Amino acid sequence: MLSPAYAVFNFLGIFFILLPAGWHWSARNTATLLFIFWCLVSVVPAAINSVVWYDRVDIKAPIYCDVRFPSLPFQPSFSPSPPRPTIFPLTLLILRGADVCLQIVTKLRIGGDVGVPAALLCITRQLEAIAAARQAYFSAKDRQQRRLVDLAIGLGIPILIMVLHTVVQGHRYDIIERVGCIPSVYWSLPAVFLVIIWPVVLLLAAAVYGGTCSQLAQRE
Amino acid sequence: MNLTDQHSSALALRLFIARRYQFARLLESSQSAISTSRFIRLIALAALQIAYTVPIALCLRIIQFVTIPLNHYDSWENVHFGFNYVGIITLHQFELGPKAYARLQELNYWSYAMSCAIFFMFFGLGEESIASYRRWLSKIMPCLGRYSISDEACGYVLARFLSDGLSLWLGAALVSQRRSRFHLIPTSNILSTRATKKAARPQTGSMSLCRRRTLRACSQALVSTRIVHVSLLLDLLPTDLFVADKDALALCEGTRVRRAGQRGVDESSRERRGQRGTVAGAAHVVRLWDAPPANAGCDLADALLVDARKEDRVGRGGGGAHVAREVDEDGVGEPELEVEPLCGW
Repeated sequence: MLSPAYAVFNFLGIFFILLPAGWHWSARNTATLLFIFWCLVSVVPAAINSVVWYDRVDIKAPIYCDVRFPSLPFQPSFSPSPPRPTIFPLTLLILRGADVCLQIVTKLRIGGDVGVPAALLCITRQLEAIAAARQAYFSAKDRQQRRLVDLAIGLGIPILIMVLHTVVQGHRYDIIERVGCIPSVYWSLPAVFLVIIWPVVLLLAAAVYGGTCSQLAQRE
Repeated sequence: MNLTDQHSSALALRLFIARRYQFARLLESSQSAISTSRFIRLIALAALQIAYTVPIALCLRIIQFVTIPLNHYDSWENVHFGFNYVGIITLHQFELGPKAYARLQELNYWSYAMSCAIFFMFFGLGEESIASYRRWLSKIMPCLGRYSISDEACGYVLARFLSDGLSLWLGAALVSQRRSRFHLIPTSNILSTRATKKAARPQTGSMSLCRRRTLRACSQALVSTRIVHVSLLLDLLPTDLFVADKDALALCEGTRVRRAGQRGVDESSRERRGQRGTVAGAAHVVRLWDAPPANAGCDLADALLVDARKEDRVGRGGGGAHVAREVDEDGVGEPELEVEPLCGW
């Protein structure tokens, strides 16, 4: 089960990814840096979430459901709201801030889910290009171009999917105890094509590149 | 095992090493400064990551597709109806469904920590990372960093070099014994870390004492002995210094400096330094087919020390770590050597 070890390892993961990151940063390898970035983006919220929601899910949530956004015209009609407690403005501000944070984190989780496979694809692409040695010499311009393509894959695709997720985002987010907020997806055909399949597709593409790469390396 | 077997196995070994060597050449020719070990580690990282995530993602999605019927997406309003709702799932509810599905989900949630751990496994324990940790350590606690293994060993050898001419050879032999350890030493650690400078004491024969003399002695010893060739020299000297005087190096008999790619090593290294503010980025390869004659050592030492100020500059730049990798017994037992600065690709 999602034991306490989950929280511990998430926090360890932050250090795991940050320790080698310094050296990689000085090496300026786009693909690896993207990998580090997306790992960090997904593991830091995961760590915080796993502590914040360690054994509670129902303390904050009712407050959220009733109190959040009193100013918004739209209130869910299926939940007849009980008489609201009076809240101080500061509390309201904090709650709203927390809500915004949770929304951002939820979006980032979508980004991280796509971003890590995308960064893996960048890495394997790069390795394949090196192993295939189609070019004997990479000029500065080539490198620039490669970097742009890497950024398009490793940063562009995840951000695009984060945006597209809005189309099928049925409600704000769900909260699982000990996992924290997870993105909600309206389970439908558009959701499948806009959000669901991309991690798998990117991973399979990375696997194909990696396969060719190791084959080429072996032949060498 | 008879002689033929031995011969064929030796041939096989030679073939294997030659293959590896060719591959290293290939990596080098792509001017990426990516070493074979890094290549392999990256491949392994990708493979492990894919092996962990693909089955989970596939199973999860397939189960979801099979068990949950797809809803109809009719309109934006309908789909986003009740947008402010927040679903809540307690651990108990999480466990309610099929066991396998819950386990898969759990593995999926573990994947963040896993990918970090996998990354650390391949890159957090590599020699370059260890070198950078050591650098940090020596920055934070100079007294601790000073007594790390490599510094100690290096200081010992240099002390032998310094003490008198006779022990030059002894020092060289010692160095050759511990060469594998020296491969791990970043240049900045030995010569130019500020902490090292501060901590240096004349009695222990550390760097700051007669640096010129030390370097000269080292290079003389290294080049004039056949046992220890330039690998240690490359470890000891700041890469920058070495690159800058490639012509001087090439003058030494039997030594060739090979340029990777079309450009001169100087230009590309300068360019990279400008771009990144890091030391010596060029993918240059120095190959030694044979040790130069004994008197070449002096020339080399002089050439290398033409501009002693460079040391200090390198020192401030920090992080000039590099890995010297060696492919021994390649072909007829000639030592092959290459140096790869650890700057991006």
